[in-house]
Amino acid sequence: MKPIQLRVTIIIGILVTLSCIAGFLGYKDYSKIKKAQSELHSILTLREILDILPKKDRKDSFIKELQSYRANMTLEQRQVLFSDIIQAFTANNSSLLQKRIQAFINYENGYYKIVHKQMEFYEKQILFHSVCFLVLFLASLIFLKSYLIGNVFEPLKKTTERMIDFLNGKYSYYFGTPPENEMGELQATFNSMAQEVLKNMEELKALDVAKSDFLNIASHELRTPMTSIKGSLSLVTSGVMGELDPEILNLMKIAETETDRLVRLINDILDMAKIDAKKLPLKLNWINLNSLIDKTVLSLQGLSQTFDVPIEVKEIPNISIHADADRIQQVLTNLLSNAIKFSPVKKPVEILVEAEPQQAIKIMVKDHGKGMTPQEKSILFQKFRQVTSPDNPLVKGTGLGLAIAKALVEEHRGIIDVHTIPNEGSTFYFTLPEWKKDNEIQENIAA
Amino acid sequence: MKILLAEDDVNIVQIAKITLEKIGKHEVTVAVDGRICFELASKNAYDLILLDGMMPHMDGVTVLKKLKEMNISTPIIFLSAKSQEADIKEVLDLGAIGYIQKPFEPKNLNEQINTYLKQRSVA
Repeated sequence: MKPIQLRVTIIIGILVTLSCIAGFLGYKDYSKIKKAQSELHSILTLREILDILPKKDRKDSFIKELQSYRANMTLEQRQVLFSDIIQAFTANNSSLLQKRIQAFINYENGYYKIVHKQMEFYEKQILFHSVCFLVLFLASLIFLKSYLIGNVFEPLKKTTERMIDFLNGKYSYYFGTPPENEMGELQATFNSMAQEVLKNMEELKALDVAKSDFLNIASHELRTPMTSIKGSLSLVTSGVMGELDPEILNLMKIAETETDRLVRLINDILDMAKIDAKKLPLKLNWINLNSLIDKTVLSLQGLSQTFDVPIEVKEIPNISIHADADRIQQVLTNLLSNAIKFSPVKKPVEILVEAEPQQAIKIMVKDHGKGMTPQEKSILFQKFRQVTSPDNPLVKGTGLGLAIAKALVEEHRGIIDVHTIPNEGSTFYFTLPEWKKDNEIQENIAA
Repeated sequence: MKILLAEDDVNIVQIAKITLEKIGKHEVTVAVDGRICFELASKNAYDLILLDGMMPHMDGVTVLKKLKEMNISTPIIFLSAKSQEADIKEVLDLGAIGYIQKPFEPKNLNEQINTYLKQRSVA
């Protein structure tokens, strides 16, 4: 049996034993008192009978009654004296009867006193026993209570506090040397559990560092050769190194374009890896939405002209968003370049903003392309999945753009999704929870 | 303009040298590792140092720190493949005037350098 359980069982055992003894003694005392009382009662009854005895008829039945009184007497002396009375009564010798009655009563007076004293003694004894047991009982209860507080409730409270601390990130969890009982077992188990958790945390941290190192090395090792390839091609195609045969120049330009694509892919993959590894901290600032959109649209002028798809910015309310400007521009760029690539010529891509009070701001990119089937929609935000476009060989991407956009929007605690109607077009939208009308910000700053 | 180019990758050195000399019309000295760069920079006067982050013998950040300790005021632009915000912030805090991300575009290299130098003269 476990120590605490054993001790509590022993104390409860003592309490039960005490109760039994107290009950037994109480019963015995009670029966003694009862006996003394009945003895006193019989003495008084006998005296009444003796008072009227000289005038009684000498019937056999009455003599038998007297004899039965005699048989119940415990003291030999009394029996002898009472026998004398019966003898005198039977012989009808009234003077002898009077004498003998007198002698018996004299004796009885002394006996009465003794029985009375005995009864008083028993009464005192019962009081003494009650007090003794009450004291023992209370002492055991107090001991049990203090034992439970000291060995169970206090350690339990301490353990809970440590656990709450641990939960709150204070890792000074250790319980010194746990006592050798059930509470100790609990604390020791918690110690080992906490050690295990901390060990795992250390391992995770190390893994995190390794991941970060890997990202840095991968960035360097991938970008260094790309720098040389891109730089060489760029120098050759720009004509700095002299004029080239048009056919060779054409091949060089293909190599250059494809290198650009490869660089974008590498950047996307590294971005994705950083997002997955939570190594892309957001630089949150209040930025004006209008200027962010203008900047993004301007940077996409080239693409817009190449595909002959204009970008139309609908009326944008004058508001600011609390976001990482570069990252939101990246999201917007990904959505816009997708929309441009999948739009028919001269059908504009529209940017719309919905800013309802108390709600996240909704930024939408609407195209007039072919829309999507539910199957196409379902793979949309997955990594390396691309909706192919047999009619448009120019559509080439990494398959990461929307996955990155989704991750970045989610980092901003927003959502990203699409409404699409086949043959009518798609509207991609994302939300940002933190935004304010620009005049409100000024008010806030002024306050 | 006299430029000290510290870069260990010979291919990038050639490309950057051609870009800076042919397009930018600058005079370029090359240091193939961090230690050589530090020695050259501490002995000779240059108008600009282009410093790669990862180099043998002494990395770019160390070279930058040592040059700043010696109070050498030659403007330094970092040329690195690392793109983590913390890395960029670190070198700018150490006193580099700019950070050019690899892979760089030869066409833009001269422009980026001029922009950083202009920003500095304005400041």
